[in-house]
Amino acid sequence: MKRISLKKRRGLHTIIGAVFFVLVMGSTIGYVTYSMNLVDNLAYQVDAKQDTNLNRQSEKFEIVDVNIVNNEFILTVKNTGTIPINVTKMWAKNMTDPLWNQTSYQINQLISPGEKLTNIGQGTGLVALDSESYSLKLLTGRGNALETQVVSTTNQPLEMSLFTTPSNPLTVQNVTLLYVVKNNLTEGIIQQITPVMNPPVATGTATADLKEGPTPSTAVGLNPGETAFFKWVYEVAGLQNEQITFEATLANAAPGNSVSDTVTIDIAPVAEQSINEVIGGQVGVIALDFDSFEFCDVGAVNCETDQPANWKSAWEATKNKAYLWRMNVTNSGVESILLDKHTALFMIDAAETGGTTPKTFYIKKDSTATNEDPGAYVNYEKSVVAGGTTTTLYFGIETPGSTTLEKTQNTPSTEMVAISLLIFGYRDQGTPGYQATDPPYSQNLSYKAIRLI
Amino acid sequence: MSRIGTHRGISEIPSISMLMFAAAVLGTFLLIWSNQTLNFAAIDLTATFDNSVNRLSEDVLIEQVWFGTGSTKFVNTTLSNISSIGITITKIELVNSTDTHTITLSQDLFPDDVYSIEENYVWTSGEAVDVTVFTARENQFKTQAAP
Repeated sequence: MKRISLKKRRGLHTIIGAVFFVLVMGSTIGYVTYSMNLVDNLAYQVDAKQDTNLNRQSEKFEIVDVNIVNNEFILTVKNTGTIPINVTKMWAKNMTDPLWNQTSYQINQLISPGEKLTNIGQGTGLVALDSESYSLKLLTGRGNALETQVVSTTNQPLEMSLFTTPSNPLTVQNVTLLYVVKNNLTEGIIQQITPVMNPPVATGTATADLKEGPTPSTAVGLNPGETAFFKWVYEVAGLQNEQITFEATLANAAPGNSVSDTVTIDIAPVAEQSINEVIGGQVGVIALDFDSFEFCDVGAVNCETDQPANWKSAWEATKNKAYLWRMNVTNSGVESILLDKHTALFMIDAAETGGTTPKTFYIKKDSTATNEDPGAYVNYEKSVVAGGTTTTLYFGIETPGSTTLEKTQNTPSTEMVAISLLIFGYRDQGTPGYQATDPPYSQNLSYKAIRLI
Repeated sequence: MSRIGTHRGISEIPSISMLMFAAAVLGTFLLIWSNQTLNFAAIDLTATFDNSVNRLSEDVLIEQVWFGTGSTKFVNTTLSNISSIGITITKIELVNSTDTHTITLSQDLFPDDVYSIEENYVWTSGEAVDVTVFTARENQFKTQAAP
């Protein structure tokens, strides 16, 4: 009986112990679970922070254009990254006036990846002047910043060069001046460049009359390393060795920031008729692009202009064959030259003994993309346009104004042939197109050489 | 013999009862103690977690530091709270090559708040200044600016 009673009471102890054990274990498990939830939340927060940092690093944007319009900044910003950007604010600092308090302007505009946001700065009320330099800073909602400087030429001397061509002009000849301005800053955009040519300074009786320019009249938003080009054309005149000095600078240029170049008159005044008799590179206003000389075997291949592979740039041609010939010319003068139908390529055999009759290949209508040989040339229908424009001339007609193609010399053997370009025409003055009062113009340019085989 | 046997039976019951009572008291005490201990630990853990998360979440953008000249030279610092929680700025420290200048403050910034402070400061043109912003949660945000 005693043993049985003791066993029963040991069971009661076990039950009581088990109850306590369960309660303690429950508390402990609850605590551990709670702790693990907290750790999980912490990991989530760390992930969120990493995402924020990653997004911040992923933001990429650039200022692609800065200018001042209506006395206010106008910026264009491009989102070059892969996530949208919220441009929240712009800070502006006046680098010219240190007493100017810096101010910020709310923008709050979203830019999608690859898109541009324009007109930043307009309507802010911030007055920006061409004569002052500014530092601008754009902020994004994620805390990134992008700074740029808008520099006035007044505050920053720029690298510049002036070239004149020709440097030894004839009298009464056009001189082209090329003014090159480079933004040599490591950072900062030159807001506006307006070229200024100071009055030319001449010796003796030399004169320089402005014919055109500057072209363009201004350049805006010059980024670091970029270069702006401006062109003037002056007609110079004077006596032998007289000089004309040109000095170019910028509107609102920094003191002393200018550049000059001097031309020297090379040839004493001569009559126009005489000029055409002088052999040399500076004779006349029409220049030839030697490399553009091409010919096409019109009887054998398609010589339409959309078949450039059939036009050969070579110095060997076949004798006794009809070709179409073409080349580019440029008129550096101020008047277009209306071409007479007698304008021609003149080919003379350069054989040591004998030789065949010279051949003349008159100007013809231009080949087109649909017609390789439109045929007869109408007098004065074509002009070599002034101002440096390139004009392509086509030749190959047997007699002026006809449609028959001329053949190359039928030489007994392989011969060298010298080619000259004979230009006959009229200066297009007054009413456009040929007028009886237009002064005549002619030019002879020793041009090319080929071999007939 | 029979009396002795009867007495032994009586003493067993009180002794077992006393043992059970003692076990119950000890168990209850142990249970209360462990619960309290775990609760305290959980509270500490929660506080630590909250501090860590809040500290991790703080983000201050030093928008602009610029140097001006009024009646005296000064520095203007603009901060913005770009995080999702409130931040208390406790100190801004300006360090150049020769000097450390401390601006002590207690400025609360709600999310998206912007705060500017102008302080007299003798700056030297062209000399870089390290700017450090301290928060109450002991975060630091740094930038560099030059007059």
